[in-house]
Amino acid sequence: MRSASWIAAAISSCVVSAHAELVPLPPQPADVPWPTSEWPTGPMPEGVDRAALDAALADAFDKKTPGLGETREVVIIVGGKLVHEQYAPGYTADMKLVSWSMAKSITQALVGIAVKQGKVDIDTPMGNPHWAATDKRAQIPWRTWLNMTDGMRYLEIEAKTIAESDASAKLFGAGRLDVANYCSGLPLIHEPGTHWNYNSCGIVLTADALTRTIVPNPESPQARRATMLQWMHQNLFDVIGMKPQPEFDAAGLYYGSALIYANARDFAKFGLLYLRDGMWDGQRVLPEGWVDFARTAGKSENADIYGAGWWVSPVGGPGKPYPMRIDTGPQRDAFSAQGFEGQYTMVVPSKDLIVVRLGYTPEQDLRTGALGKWMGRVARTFPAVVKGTE
Amino acid sequence: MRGKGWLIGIIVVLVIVGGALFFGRDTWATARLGTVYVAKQTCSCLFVAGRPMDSCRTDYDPAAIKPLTVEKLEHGVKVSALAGLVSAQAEFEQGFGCHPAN
Repeated sequence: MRSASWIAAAISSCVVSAHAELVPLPPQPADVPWPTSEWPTGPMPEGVDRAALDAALADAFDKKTPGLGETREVVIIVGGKLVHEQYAPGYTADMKLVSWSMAKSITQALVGIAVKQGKVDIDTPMGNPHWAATDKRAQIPWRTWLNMTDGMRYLEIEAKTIAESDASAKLFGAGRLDVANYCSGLPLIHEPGTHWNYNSCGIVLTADALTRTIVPNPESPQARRATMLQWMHQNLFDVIGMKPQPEFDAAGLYYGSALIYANARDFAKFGLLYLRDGMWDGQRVLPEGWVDFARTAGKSENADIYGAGWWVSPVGGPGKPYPMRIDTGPQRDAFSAQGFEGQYTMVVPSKDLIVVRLGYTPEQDLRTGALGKWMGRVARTFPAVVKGTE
Repeated sequence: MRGKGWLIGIIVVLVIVGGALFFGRDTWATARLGTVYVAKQTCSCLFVAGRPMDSCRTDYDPAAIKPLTVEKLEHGVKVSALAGLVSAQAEFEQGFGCHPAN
């Protein structure tokens, strides 16, 4: 009994030290209403470098700054209030734009909700109907898929041509009618849990496993998607007042890794759910510790900038291997949902800040890292406000 | 002699056809992917985002979309390329967005 409590204390100590570097998530100010129906608005807070912020916004919307591409919607939230929003000509506050891979962060939230409901244990094998029990892939736990350390042979970020990219193939090529079927066919090339690789297919398979948990025996693809969409709305979207359009393939699976359409204000609500540690208006939406899981880099030998469904900026790491790290200042506590062509929902706990940027930045510009630097530039115009991070 | 000429002719044709298939396979695959991509994304742009077609066209590299014919249907989008040899269709379903239909 004594040794059991010693082991428990040791495990608890390890968990605490793993999270020791995380900046505390600020609670919603008592006098600020939750934005379930409408965003409360407010003036730009004191301490903001307004000239630097205005210059950054001008660069983003002028379409001329190298590497930034075309910015279409920007929303900035500080202290739970909308302090700035800006739209390019032809774009409006209620226009739903594509998330691309920001959807991965939403899938991480949906898995968290299933965990809270007792439907999923992320430390058990996730599995797939196409894999035999003896298949090594069938033994990989949900946690490993969400951390993208599954070891699957999947090519996206490093693909040199569209034709060799698994991302293109799964959505628009061989997998276009049944994306999970395509993804389940990819082999392992690394020992699971050791090597990070950006794997959209892993999140598709996670979405598929989650859908099979929520809708175990659908009568048809139509019934499958209708039941899943209803569950998503009841447990996440309606709770936080988000009105997105998730898209579904012909097999009735929501894409999971991409293709959720929403406006910038709604993506900011999703960011606020994470900034507030999974709480919303007095209700716990995500399990305790779920946001810390999202913003803690997974164990891998080759990368330190990906948590679980979210990109991170760890203080102790160099930010390898891709130019996705957002430098928001000395705290380096930003975590972000990021999508193809420059979609961002950035959450900065030390500044009680959320910045959403939607737009069209071609791939060759994204690879320069200019847009990630711009996100950091915007964040650095805001002061740290969380106690201990000023 | 005449039979030998036929044989050389057949070999030349086979080499040309084989070469075209070999070196054109990426072009064909890319054209196929491109038509599906543009059909699906334009469908979402029109029916989910509610943007006009001119705005949707700005989501693509102008040079890449130029050879494509993009047609808005009642509940979707059809895209064709290479004089109709390659085409793709995306379908919109209210509440569920767009997806490739073929």
